[in-house]
Amino acid sequence: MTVLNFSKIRKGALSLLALAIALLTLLPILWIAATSLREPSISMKLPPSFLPKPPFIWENYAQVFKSLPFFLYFRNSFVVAVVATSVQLIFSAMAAFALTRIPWKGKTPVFLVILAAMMVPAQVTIIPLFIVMSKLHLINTLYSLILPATVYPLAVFLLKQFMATIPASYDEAAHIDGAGRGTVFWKIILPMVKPSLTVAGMMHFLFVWNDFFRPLIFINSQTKMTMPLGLHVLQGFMGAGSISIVLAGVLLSIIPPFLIFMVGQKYLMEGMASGGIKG
Amino acid sequence: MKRHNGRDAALFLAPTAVTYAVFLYIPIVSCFVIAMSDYDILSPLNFIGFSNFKRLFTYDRTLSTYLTTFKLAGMVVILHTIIGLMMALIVRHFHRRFQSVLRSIYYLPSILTTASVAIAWRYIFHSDLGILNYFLRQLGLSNIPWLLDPQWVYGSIAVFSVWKFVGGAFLYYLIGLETIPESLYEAAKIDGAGSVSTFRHITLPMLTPTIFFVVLNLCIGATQMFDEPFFLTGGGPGDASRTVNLFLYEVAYKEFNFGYASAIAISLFFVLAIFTIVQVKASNKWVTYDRA
Repeated sequence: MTVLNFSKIRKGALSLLALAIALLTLLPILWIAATSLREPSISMKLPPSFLPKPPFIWENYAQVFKSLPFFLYFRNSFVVAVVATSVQLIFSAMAAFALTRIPWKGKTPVFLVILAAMMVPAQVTIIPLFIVMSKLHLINTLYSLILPATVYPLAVFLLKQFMATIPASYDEAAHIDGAGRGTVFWKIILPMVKPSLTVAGMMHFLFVWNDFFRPLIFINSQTKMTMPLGLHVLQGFMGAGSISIVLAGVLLSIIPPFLIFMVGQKYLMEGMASGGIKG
Repeated sequence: MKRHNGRDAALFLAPTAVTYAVFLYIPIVSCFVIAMSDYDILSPLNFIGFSNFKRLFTYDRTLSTYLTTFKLAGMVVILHTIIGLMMALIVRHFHRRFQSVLRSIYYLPSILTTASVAIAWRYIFHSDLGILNYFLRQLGLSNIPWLLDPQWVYGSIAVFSVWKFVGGAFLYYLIGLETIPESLYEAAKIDGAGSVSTFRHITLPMLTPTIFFVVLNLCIGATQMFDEPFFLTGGGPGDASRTVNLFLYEVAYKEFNFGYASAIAISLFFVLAIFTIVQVKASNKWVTYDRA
């Protein structure tokens, strides 16, 4: 009997703890949302609010778009992330195809060279890239962000893992029907690895969307900025007084990653897990 | 049937070969070359030997930013490793459905834009008007100078880092815990082992590969910290929270001393490589790899 009570108490304590952690995790986000709807002049007034209370000042959100080319930031971030992710996925899938479905010597060293790229910190390549980009007049263009982002070794890793599980009989049957390697890749293998493409695509999209370091160095013109960099400008612009406007911008900027997470969290967490297996 | 294997492999690898060479491997080599010069982008390349590398060990600011980085990284790694594990152990006690709800909530901050939420956290840390100090005052405690005091900035960055990124460690632990066979726990129960001894003799040893992986990942990530100090403190007060990466950025893009900045980048590269090697070597000694 006492054992039962003890385990009940423990379960209750654990539930409370679990909910407390969840609350602590969500509180800053709730505060951002609630404060972004406050009158700018009282935006930092205490006590803080964690649930939006009327009057809702939607004008704050309009103000974000009025004071800065916020829509352009959105568009730029979107273009960079979508283009870089798509190109990267095709390149990575092609590499994974060569590494799993074509017999040739030297696969292992090539794969290791690709994997080793994961260990290279962005700071090592950024200075040479900056110099080359400025010589080619690509600084302040979206190309300077898209081109280096086509390298994403984790995608090659994930796609290779998945492709290796597809039996060779698929390729053989297609070859007998007269299909070339290109057809096998495009029509048979690529559709079969959709789950890996989704995982690698979402992880890379988030990575590119959230990146601040590269845009900070490659972009300084207002019209070419991506979201995080634009927010940095907004903070400098409004941060002193109207933090509700800054927080409105913050909230807008985290909506796309949030949506991706809501839609694909199962895939994303699986991707994290399989990235973890490599040890 | 001959199918031009070599040619096809080359064709399929060509885009990867080109992009990796141009955007990764050639820049790495160039970084070494630039580090041997006093390049400032305007004047032509002028080689000055190893003096940039020598300066790494003599220039006090570089050494102090390294010290700052290691202190910060050490703190972050310890906190994430412990808190992440505790969170995973708690979550594991619940039914599947509640587990997956908790998992989503705990992991959510990890996918949000660091720059965006760090901007918001700067206000949360505000001494008089921030909500953290507001809660402390409600509890009858006094204000903490979160971002203003050279000692407290470490704590502030650590608090932010735990909120933002602990979901990663948590998730790895959760997956690691799932791989521990239920039979081991049942055997322990039959032997009358208490929860503490079960944790010590089953969970912890079985989880060492995961812990090792988490620590390794965190070390590598935390040593490259940039966004957090950039937005929260700007490296201040003074140089108190200036990480190597932040310092490198300033040397390169504020002083236009690309040669020295490249030398710093190379040093960071080696530090990370040493981390990886040490961790792999050490893991052979204390990690239980066979997961029954």
